[in-house]
Amino acid sequence: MAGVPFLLMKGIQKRFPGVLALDSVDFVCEQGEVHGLIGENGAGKSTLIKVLGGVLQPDAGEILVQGAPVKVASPSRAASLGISVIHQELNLIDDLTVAQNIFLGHEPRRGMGVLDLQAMCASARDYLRVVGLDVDPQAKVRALSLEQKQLVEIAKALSVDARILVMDEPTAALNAEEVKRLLKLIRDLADRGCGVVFISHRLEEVFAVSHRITVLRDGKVVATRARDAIDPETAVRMMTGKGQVGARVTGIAPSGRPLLEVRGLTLPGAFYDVSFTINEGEIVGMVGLEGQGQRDIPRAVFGDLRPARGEVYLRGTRLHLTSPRDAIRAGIAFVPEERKAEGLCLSLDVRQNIALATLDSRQVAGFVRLSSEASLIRNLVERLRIQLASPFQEVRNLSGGNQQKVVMAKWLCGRPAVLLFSEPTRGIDVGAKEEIYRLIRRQADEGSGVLIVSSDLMEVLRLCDRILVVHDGRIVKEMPAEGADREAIMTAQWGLEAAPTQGSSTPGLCHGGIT
Amino acid sequence: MTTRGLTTSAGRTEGRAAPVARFHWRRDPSLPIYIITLVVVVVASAYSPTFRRPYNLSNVAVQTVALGLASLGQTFAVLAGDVDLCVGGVISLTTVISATLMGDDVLTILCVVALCLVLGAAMGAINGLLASRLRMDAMVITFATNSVLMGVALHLMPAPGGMVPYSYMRLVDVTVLQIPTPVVLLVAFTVLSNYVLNRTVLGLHIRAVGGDRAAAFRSGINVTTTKIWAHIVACMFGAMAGLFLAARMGSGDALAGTPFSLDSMTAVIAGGTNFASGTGDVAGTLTAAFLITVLGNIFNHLGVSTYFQYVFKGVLLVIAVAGGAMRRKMQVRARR
Repeated sequence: MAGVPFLLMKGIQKRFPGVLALDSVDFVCEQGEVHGLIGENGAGKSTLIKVLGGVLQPDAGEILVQGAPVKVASPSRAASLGISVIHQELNLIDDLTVAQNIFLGHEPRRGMGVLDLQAMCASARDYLRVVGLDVDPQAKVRALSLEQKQLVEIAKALSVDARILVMDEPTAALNAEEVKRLLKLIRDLADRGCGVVFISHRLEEVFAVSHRITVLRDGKVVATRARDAIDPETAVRMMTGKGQVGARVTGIAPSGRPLLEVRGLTLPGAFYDVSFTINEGEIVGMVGLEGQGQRDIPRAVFGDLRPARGEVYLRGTRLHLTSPRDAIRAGIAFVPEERKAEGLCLSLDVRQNIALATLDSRQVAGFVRLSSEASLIRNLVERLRIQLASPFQEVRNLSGGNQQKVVMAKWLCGRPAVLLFSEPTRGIDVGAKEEIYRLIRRQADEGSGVLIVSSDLMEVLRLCDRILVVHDGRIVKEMPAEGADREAIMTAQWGLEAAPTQGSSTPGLCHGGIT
Repeated sequence: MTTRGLTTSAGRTEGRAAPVARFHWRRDPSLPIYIITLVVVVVASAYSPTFRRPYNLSNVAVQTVALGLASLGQTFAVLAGDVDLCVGGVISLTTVISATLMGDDVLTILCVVALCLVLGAAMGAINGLLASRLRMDAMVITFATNSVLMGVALHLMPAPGGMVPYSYMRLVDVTVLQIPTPVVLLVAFTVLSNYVLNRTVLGLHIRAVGGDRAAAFRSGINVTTTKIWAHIVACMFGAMAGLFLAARMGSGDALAGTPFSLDSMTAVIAGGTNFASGTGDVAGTLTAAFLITVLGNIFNHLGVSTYFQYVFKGVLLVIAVAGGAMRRKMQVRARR
């Protein structure tokens, strides 16, 4: 095997509409090595492993296994090549037993389609021993903890004889103790000759476990270095780069009168002790790496998730939010990230979609007054400059930008005091993005408070007045957006900030330890 | 999102050694139906001398056979995450074909039996294929195919009639050790189904597809093939139920199968099989089918109208579904 790497990805290119997700990426993984893969949101990590796992096909480039070019046409082809990907959402069936899950799809048989239960149990035990999980192979997966499920998933990968194991954010939902054990297991697997590609948003874990680290930025490989030849600060600098922040979208300065106050909001497993204030006319940006709990915070304020603890005040009055209906009545609007799944009814027309959230205020004994509705909608369509053939057009035929404007129109016609956005411009072209920024700013100028959760750092830097950084379910840093230092935000996002800033709680736990 | 938070918090409190979740009779989802059936039979036997007469009991057992067979098949469909409402149509058409085509010699009888089974298998394959390929709800697809079969059966035989040969009718009355053969066969098929569902690759795949279709697919299971097999089994059991009914009635009836689509589903759900989780077993199904028949028998003795029995069966289905939903809710709460 000398000289020929076990897995070689050469010049991989993948283009999505509007973006070059992977730009001639070279990636190598040897057997017996742990290769850490890091990068900002949208740097191309998940696209790369989707190409490797056969979920996506590259536009250009080739994949070589032991020097031989291969075409990874499907996940099952990847498995037969010895490449196994463990996704963040696990691939287990709760009501089957551990042994059944491990061998699902490649069961030991005795011929005639009869299961060999003894062999199944015995070898399940062997694989469980390898991953260090002490459970009965006959136990149902439902009864296991998340960590244990993850280990079952690893055992499943080993049972198909995986020689390259890709783990996407395996530690995201584990506690410090569990992470430590998992990292040790990853090292053990590498010592047994398995190649592991390890992706994590926790930099200290990557440094604790990897032999080599590859940094991706904007779809390109910035560097592949031995662990000892790179330190976390350098890595953060490499991930961030020196991109230009565009002109800020400014308006009237916020009044300083508190509008929405959130105190000690806690939802175990998602976020802890979250407190912040949004003033009248202010746009607050909330940033964090994927899966740090920031997406659940506006949902909880909107009453879509029920937090275990904490209070929400609007203009000093405490709100009791048990459902989105309560929040809407109190004057809170939420524009979710999954426009198509949650924000719109695609098969209804524009008029119906806009009217949906505020039907109550325009109905008389259950009948809608169409005349008042028509003028209201004409107003909004003009104000937001939605490009339409007619208000009776089906929403599915509109562009992404126009769809997003319809969602905004839907909420604006209720004249909300507080607007919560999650990824307001995801999948929208540049021109429409600018217009949406201006609309959000105008809404703030009229006195609304706005919260934007975004994975696009540029967006937050350009549009917001204040930035909150979330790491590991907690707000770890707060700063004004104007003149904010991107590197400082990145450092806080990756949990590298040791000292908490005033008014925020302790930063994430430090796992593993950097050696 | 909530579920993620939920599992995480559970993960944080538990250690690495798992609670051993071996099979335990108290966790058996079929337990309620066993208890209810036992109570009903004991009470009815205590109060009614007619009910406890051996002849009546044997009669009830034979009456269970048609619903029992249909429900065994339905269990496969429900475990695979679907439901096959087409079994009623298959039963009707089978009785009509039997009463029309069977001659008085062994060869034609065997040929017609084979024809009916093949027809059932073909309908199952069509149902499974449509349900998984069109990505439509199996309930809607099989509701439609059921209507097609019912229409064909009514066209062939607008009014109940026809004849099956006497020799074929006699088969139902043969006994083994004083137990009627159909009952023996029903029990044998139950044991066989239990084996298939728990000891074979097909059984495991059916449960996996019913439990989480996407995860099963990503584990390399052919979801389409698995669903097709589940529906084939369901409709072939339907055909067997129809063949039995034809022998029992001695004639064909294009409406004979009508109640079975819903009744078989009731038996499966009341028997503890859960929609969309891949859990449940045929023993519970068979017991529930028996209970439905016993209650019908008791109602007849009490002189309750047949129409009221429809009301009762509907209520039973609602209770069974609600019970399943509550059980799941309690499971979720217990995990917290």
